[in-house]
Amino acid sequence: MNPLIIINYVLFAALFSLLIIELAGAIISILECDLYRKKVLEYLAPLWEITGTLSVFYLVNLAATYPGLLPAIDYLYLAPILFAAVFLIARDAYLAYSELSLEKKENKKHARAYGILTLLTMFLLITILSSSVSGGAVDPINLSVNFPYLLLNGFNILMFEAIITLASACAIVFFDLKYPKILATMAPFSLALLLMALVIHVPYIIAKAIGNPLYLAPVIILFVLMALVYLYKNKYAKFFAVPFLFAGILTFELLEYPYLFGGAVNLSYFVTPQPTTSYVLLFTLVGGGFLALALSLFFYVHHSKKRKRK
Amino acid sequence: MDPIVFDRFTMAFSLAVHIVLAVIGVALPVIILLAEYLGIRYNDKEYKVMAKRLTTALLILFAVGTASGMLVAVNLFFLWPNFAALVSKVAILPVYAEVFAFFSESIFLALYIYSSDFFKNKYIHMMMMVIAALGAAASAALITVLNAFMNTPVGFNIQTYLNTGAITNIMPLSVFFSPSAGIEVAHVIATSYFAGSGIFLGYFAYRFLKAKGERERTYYQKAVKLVFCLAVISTFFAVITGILSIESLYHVQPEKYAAIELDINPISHAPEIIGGIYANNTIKDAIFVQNLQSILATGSANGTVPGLSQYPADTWPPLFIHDLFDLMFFAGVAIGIFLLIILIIYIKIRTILTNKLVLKLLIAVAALSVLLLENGWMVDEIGRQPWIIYNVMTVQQAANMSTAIIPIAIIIVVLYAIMLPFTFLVLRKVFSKRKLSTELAR
Repeated sequence: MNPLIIINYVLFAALFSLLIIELAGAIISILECDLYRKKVLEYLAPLWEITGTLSVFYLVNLAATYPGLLPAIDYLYLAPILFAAVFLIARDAYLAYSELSLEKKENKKHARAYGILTLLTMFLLITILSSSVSGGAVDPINLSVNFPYLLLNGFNILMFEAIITLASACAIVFFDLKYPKILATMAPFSLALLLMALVIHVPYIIAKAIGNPLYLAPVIILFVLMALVYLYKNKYAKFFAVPFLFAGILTFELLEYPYLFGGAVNLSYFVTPQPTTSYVLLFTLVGGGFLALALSLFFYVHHSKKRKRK
Repeated sequence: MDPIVFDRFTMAFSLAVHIVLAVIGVALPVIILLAEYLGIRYNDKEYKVMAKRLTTALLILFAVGTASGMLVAVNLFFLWPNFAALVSKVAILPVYAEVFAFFSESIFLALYIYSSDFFKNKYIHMMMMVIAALGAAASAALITVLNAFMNTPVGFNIQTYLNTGAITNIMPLSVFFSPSAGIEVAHVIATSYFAGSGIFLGYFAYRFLKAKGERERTYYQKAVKLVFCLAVISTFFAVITGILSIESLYHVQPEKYAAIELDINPISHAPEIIGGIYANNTIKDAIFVQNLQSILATGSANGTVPGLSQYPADTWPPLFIHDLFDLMFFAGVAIGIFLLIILIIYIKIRTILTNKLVLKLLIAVAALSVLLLENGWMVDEIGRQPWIIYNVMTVQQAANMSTAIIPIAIIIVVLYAIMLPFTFLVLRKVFSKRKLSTELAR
C-alpha cells in the first residue's frame, strides 16, 4: 500500500469523523436549542478549531498526494466545493459572532443559523464524497458532470440519510443526552442504510468486505464496545464515539483502495512522483507531530480550566 | 463572456481583500506582544488592557482572515487547475509547510486566549503569542516563496516541460531557494509590518482625537507611541528591501524591470522616468532624470539597462505598472520622510504625537499604507502578465475555462461584500459593549 495514500486516508477519516460530531451538534442546535447551549457549546470551540485546521490540512495534503487528479477534481466538483467553502465561511463567522455576542435573545437565532449552515456544508461535502466513490453523475475521463443528478442521485441521498442518522446517534452518545436508549439503535440503522447504498451502487466494496472480513473487525469490535458501554456506563460512551467513526471511515476507504469513481480511476497512477513523495511524507510526519503536540497542550489547558470551573 | 475574465477578476478581488486581512494578521500579534510585554514589565494598566482588547479584535479578524484565506486557496487550486497541477508536483512544499505555520498561529492564538489566567508566570503566557506571531510571519513568508517560484521558477527541467509537457528532474527543496525568494520574503515581511502597523497607527490616532477623559487619552497616546515605533522600524526595513527588490528584478526578471521603468529599448546612460504613459511609440508626460536609472541599477552612468524591445510584444505586461510603481515609490518615500521627521521631533518634543495636525496626518498614513500595499502587489502580479509562471505557463494556459465559474465568481464577490461590513459591525458591536473606561477602571 502506498504510504502517501494511507496518510491521506487517515487524515480524511480523522476530519470526517469530527465533522460528523459537529453535524451531531448542529442537529441538536436546530432541534433542541436549550440543550445545545448546555451540552454542545463547550465542545464546539475546540472542535471548530480542529475541524477548520484539519480541513485545510486535508485539502493541501490532497493536492500534494494526487497532483495529477487536481484538474479532474477542479472541473468536476468546482461548484459544490466553492459553495461548501462559502457555507463554511458563513458558518465560521456565525460561530465566532455567537461566541462573542452577549445578547441571550440572539443566541437561539445564532445557534439555528450555525446548525443550518453546517447541515448545508455537510450535504455538499457528502455529495462530493458519494460521487467520487460511486462515480455517479460524473465522467472523470471526459470531465463532464450532471449537476442536478450529482445532488439528487440515489447513492447520495442514501449516504446523506445514513450519515444524518449516524450523527443523530452520535449526538445522543457523545453529548450524553437523556433519551430512551432504544435510540441507540439509530447507529446500526444508519449502517444498514450505508450498506444498502453500497450494495446497490458500489457492489465491489461489499464484495471486498465479504472477501476479507478482517477489514470490518475493528469497526464491529468498537461498535459492540460502544453499545455495551452506552447501555451500562453511558457517561464513558462518548470516548468510543470518535474512534468508532474514525475506524468506520478508514475501513470504508481501505475497502475502496486504490480505486475511486466506482473503479474507473486507480489512485496509484496519480500519486506525486519521487522525490516529492519523500519530502511530503517527511513534512507530514514532522508537521503532524508538532500539530499533535500543540493540540495536546491546547486540550490540556482547556480541560484543566473546565475542571477548575467545576 | 470569456470565463478567463471571471477567473482573473475573482482571483484579483479575493487577493485584494485578503491581503489587507493578512497584513493585520501578521502585524497585530506583534503589537499585542509589545503591549503585553510593556504591561507586565512596568505593571502598566493601560498596556495590559490594550493587549486584551487587541486580542479580541485579533480573534475576530483572524477568523475572517482564515475564511478569506481558505477562499483564496480554493480559488488558486480551482480557477487555475493546470497551474495547481504543476505546482503540486514541483512546488507544493512551501504551500504544505504554510499549513503548519498557520496551525501554529491559530492553535497558539487559541491557547493565548484560553490560558490568560492559567499560567502563574505571565511571561509563559506571553510566549503563546510569540509563537502565534512567528507562525503568522512564517505563513506569510512561505506563501511568498510560492509567489517567488511563479516569478522565477526552478526545481524542474523547464526546457523539457516546454517541449514535451513532461515534468522531469524534480528538486522539491530548490523552490525555497529560487532567485527571487530571499528578497521577496524580506520585502513582504517588512511591508506587512509596515502596512499592518500603519493601519493601527491611523486607528489609534483617530481614537485619540475622539477620546473623552484623561484616562482614555493616556491609553490612546500610549497606543499611538507603541505602534509608531513599530511603524518607523518597519518603514526603514521596507525601504531597504524595496531598493534591493528592484535591484534583484534587474537581474532575475529584466522584462518586468523594463516594464516598471518604462524602458522600451536597452540603453546606457538611462534616465529615470517619473510618471508618463507609453502611447504611439513614445513616452508622454514624463519627467526624465538623466543617467539616474543607470546609476541606480548598475552603479555607473555607463551601465546598460534592459529594454522591452528585447522581448516579444505579446509577452509585455501592461505598461501602466510603471505609474503604479511610481505612485507606490513616492507615497512610500513621503510616508518614510514624514515618520522620520516626527521621530526626530519626538526626541526633543515628547508631546508631538498628541498634536492634532500630526494625528490627522497619521490617519492619512493609514490610508496611504493600504494603498501602497495594494499597489505593490498589483505591480508584482500585473508585472508578470501574461505569465502565471514566468516563461513557463501563461494565465490562459492555466485557467479553468468552465462556464460554471461565472455564477461562482459573482457569489464570491457578494460574499465578500457581506463579510467585510459584517466584520466591522461585529467589531463595533463587541467593543460598544466593552467600554474602555470600564476596563481601565477595573
